[in-house]
Amino acid sequence: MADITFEGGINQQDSTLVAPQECVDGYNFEIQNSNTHLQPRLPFEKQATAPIVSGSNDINGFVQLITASNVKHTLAQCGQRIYDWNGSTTFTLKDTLISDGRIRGVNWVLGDYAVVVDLLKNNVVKKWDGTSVTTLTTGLVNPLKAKYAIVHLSRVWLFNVESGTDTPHLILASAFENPESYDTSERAVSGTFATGLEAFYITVPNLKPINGVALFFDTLVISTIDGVLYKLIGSDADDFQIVPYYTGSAAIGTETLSNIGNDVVYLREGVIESLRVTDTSGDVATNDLSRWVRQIINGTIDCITIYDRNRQKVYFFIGDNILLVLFKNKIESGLSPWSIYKTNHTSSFQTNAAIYIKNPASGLNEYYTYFGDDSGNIYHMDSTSINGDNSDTDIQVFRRSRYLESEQIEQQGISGRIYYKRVADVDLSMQFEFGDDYSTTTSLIPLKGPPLDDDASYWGGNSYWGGEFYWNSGFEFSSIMTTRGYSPVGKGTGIHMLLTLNTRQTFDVVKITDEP
Amino acid sequence: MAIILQTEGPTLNFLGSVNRILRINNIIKGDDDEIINFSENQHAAKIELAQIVIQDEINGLLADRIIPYEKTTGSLTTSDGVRTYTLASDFVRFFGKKPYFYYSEDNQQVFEYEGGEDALRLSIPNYKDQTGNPINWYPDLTTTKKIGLYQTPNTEHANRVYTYDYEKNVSLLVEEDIMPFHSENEAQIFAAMAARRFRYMEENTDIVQLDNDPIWNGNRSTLFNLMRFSNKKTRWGVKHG
Repeated sequence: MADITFEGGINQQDSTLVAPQECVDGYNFEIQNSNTHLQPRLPFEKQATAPIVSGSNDINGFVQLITASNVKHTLAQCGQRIYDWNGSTTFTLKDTLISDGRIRGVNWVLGDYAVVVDLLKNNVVKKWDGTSVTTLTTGLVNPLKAKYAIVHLSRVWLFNVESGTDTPHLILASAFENPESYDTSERAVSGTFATGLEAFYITVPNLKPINGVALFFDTLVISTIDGVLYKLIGSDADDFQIVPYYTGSAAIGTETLSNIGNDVVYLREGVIESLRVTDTSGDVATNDLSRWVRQIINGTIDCITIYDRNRQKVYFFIGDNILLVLFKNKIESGLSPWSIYKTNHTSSFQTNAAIYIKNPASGLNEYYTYFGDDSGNIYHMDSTSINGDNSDTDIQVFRRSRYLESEQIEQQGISGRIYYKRVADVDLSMQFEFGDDYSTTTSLIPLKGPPLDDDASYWGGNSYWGGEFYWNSGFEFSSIMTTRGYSPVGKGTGIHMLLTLNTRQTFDVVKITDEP
Repeated sequence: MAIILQTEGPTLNFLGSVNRILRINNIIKGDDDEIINFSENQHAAKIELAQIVIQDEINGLLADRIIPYEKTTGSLTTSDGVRTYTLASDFVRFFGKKPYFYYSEDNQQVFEYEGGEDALRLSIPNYKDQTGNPINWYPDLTTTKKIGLYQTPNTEHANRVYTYDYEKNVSLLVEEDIMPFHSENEAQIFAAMAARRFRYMEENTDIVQLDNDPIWNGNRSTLFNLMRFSNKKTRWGVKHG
């Protein structure tokens, strides 16, 4: 048995395709680049609770306006109420939707306002200027509703719209540099345009409802339900066209299509696809980013896909206490880039709204992924809390290795050592599922924290991750490797090794060997 | 340098010997703490193996009469009308060629009935019913180690405490059992010897080779030398003439 390190994620393929660094099952571990250690995910932290009223208190949407002068104004929708949220405890009611909705928005920095759409298309397109939420001036006779919006080529593009008539296949493009001017009568190319800078509409060729849009470098990519992926070509109203981009598949759900920096990912039936690979290689196996986690994805019909640019992670909020996490830097490694986040906290990562935005609190500029629950609570990922999820809930980390076979295990059983760095006192439970005799035995390994007389700073002390001191730094023996042995009872043709840590503390397991 | 004189046997017990074996074989090192009981699961397999090698080595030494069973004293208290009595749980056999029970108040020795119960029942058919002052004992051949008294104590001879010398079982069973040696040195070198056996068993090496292992044999010789009641002759250099 080779030394076990932890740079790979979950791999549910046939066991012969699973590397020792991967696991066949697991959750709540990180697999960041250039790190082979077993470390827990950071906890999430409740940042605020919106005013609670009778009726729905679901957090349904977020919109963040960042003005040209870099001032943040953040909207949080709780139930049908839209609040200006200061990132702390202050929620100022700005608007109430006339019907259920899920607000989303895009920044129009040129005018220092955000264009706000409703993913459920029950409410009209609105404008958020940092002071008030108003109905967006559109120049149209009928109220305008839209599911998706994006800023592209100096226009605001609205997708899956309704203006008098529901036209889910239709795209409205604002006039050039004027998001308050739309036209539902002039069609791109065939319409009458004086300069080409006018507003226009255009439809997707298959006339199916649009269910996702994303920018892929300079290309606007559009998905249709049970359809194909399209892209926009052209430069003005006279020549804009929607043409097929990839005919093999399209996204399902409502918010599964997302840009992830140098790529676009989307969910289709049982698969998370990578558009970049699809673009270069066609619909081949390698465009299936989820081949490692097919059993988890299977049956998923919708999710909210969020890209955390700073941490190079893509979150797929698929509900049922499963937050699927794609570590982008790992995609090219050949190892599984997937982890799962689960929580024992009641929020269960079940949400109607998630967003990657700058911390709304004044003076804080770090970006986080935020999500809400059904009780008006707003959480952010990657907290510096030292007390687990929501500062009150243990985080259980789990990894189940592939089947590790060796003659030694069959004849002598298995024993070895765990190499780790002292971060905090944590119990590591090692379960060994021995093949052949179907027995499971456990070794409980207490991993030690800093020495008693060490008065330097460490996680859990006065300093913390992101502060002057950080993870595993500061105390006298912080960089020194230490070990503990294990030798469970049992023999068999091989083992599955199950590692479980249930703690609010952090830890740093470097590797596990089968050498005494 | 302070010299500590050891007045009684070793302090090393079964648990300590297991720890010593695990440490000698690099099972306990780094951040590992010494085990505090045999039910710990961190080193469960090695703990079991270490117990086995200690017991194997002890059994070997016992069989070779290198170490004797420990002599100790037990007692029984008579009861009115009770003929048979259970001996100590760690009883192996009586000490000495002519074992007896001793009632100190009367300075009375109770010797074995020659020929045992079989002879007794032929000579005195109603031996079970005769009561009075016990004058003989005999082995009571049941599944537990018991003796019978002849005569069966009556009221007058009840509540008497008889002591007896016997050889005690030195098998190691629980963590607190003290190693059956006279000194710490003996117990320590024994652990080193057992550690060598541990390695053979741990590595699945052919255990037959242990007899030819110089380290195991060296430790065994050292143990024997330490256990001698008289000093071994020391010799420096080559003897001439």
